[in-house]
Amino acid sequence: MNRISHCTTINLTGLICILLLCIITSSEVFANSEKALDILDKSRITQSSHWPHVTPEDLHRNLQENILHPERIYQGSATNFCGYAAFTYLLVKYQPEKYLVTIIDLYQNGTAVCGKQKLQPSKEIRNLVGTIAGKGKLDIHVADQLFFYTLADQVKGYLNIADKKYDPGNENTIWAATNLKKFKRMVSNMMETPVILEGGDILRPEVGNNFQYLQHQLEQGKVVLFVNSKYLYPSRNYIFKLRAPTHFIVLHKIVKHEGTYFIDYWDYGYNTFQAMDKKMFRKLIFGIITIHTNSL
Amino acid sequence: MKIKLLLIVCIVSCARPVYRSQQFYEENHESIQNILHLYNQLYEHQPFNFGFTDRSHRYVSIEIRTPNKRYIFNTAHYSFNLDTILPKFGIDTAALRKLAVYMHLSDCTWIGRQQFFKNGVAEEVNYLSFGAVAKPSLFSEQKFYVLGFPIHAWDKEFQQLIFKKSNITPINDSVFYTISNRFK
Repeated sequence: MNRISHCTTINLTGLICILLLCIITSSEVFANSEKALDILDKSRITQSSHWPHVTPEDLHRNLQENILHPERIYQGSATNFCGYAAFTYLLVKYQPEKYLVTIIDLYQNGTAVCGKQKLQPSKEIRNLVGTIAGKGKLDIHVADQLFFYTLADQVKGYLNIADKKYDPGNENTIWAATNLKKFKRMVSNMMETPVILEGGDILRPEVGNNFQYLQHQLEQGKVVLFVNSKYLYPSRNYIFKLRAPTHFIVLHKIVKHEGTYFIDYWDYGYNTFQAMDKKMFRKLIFGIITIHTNSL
Repeated sequence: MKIKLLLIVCIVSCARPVYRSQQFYEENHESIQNILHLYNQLYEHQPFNFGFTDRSHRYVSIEIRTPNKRYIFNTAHYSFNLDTILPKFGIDTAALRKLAVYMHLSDCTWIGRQQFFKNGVAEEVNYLSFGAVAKPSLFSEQKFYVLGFPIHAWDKEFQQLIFKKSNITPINDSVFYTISNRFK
């Protein structure tokens, strides 16, 4: 029995839209990433007593890969680290030198200052990093572990009040959660760049036409969306479908064609292409953060 | 009436996951082997995850992973002609239809592949989902009941490490279950 529906062929205009979206913005190779690689090559990272389970070689490898391929930053399987991963992706892509200096400081000294944010992870976190297992590629991405766990430990929002201290398994709980204003704070304080925020954790953005607003904001800078992932990765197998945001993605492009939205975005270690209908698009977005490019 | 129905759903859904997963695995053992065999064959040509997005299994979603990009084609959202698109990625649509039929018959919703790491080397695992967890998840992603099938047998030491460090529970030497948010 044929369960894959036979549908109308995509017309030529639609195909062009898709192809345009599929062009990776490889022109966005930043001169700063070359400088960052140069700094990394010249840095002498020695075994840190603060992070006993992280070797300099593994750290160096992950840092190099992140600078060369920020799109491969992966939040970890079954974790609530999407906010930290999205933030790290932005920091690596647009301020790679600052990212590098922060991580190296954090590793060598056990503490670092990134912009206005002091990072001084607990001994428990420092002893944990490098020992996790079962989280997919995050298991071998020690620089990402170091940064995600540090951010979760040090940057708190109202969602984390109920569970401030790390316990084993907390990666997937409210301890690691990021709400919209907490994400904005991470960007403002650490990237030290103007940020515009629309929407919230409960109420959707009041910007009129979301599509037109997003297109306009993409011309102003980089756009991060706080979305309900049940509409990004939908399934009617859900028993409950709570109308709340659960996930951060970095939007690259959005095109509308015959009532369907074609989006090009980043999450989970990939640049991703997807289509969604009007209803899904309307229910998807809770928060829109614009980071002005000129100040990066 | 609605409250009674909700209570029944909650009670059934709250049945201990290991029993539910073990029961599902034992009842559908042969179908699951067919699904895994076909999926492995297709995956060799092009890595992908695949499943149904609705209870009637009318719509499908396929996530294709190339080295630089991930493409998600969800037929519930747009009238993608998968017969035209999938061959461009080297996916045999006839074999994929067969996979869909096997999954439909055993009520599996999603199949994908994930990696675990042993001494820095990737150990691949096929994941098969058969239902969503009833517990509402505010501010975090929906979780699913998932069976995991390591491609290569894990040694005892690695098994113990993984079972200790992550929310994975063995059913037998070659199958485990977990609760996960779509295998990402």
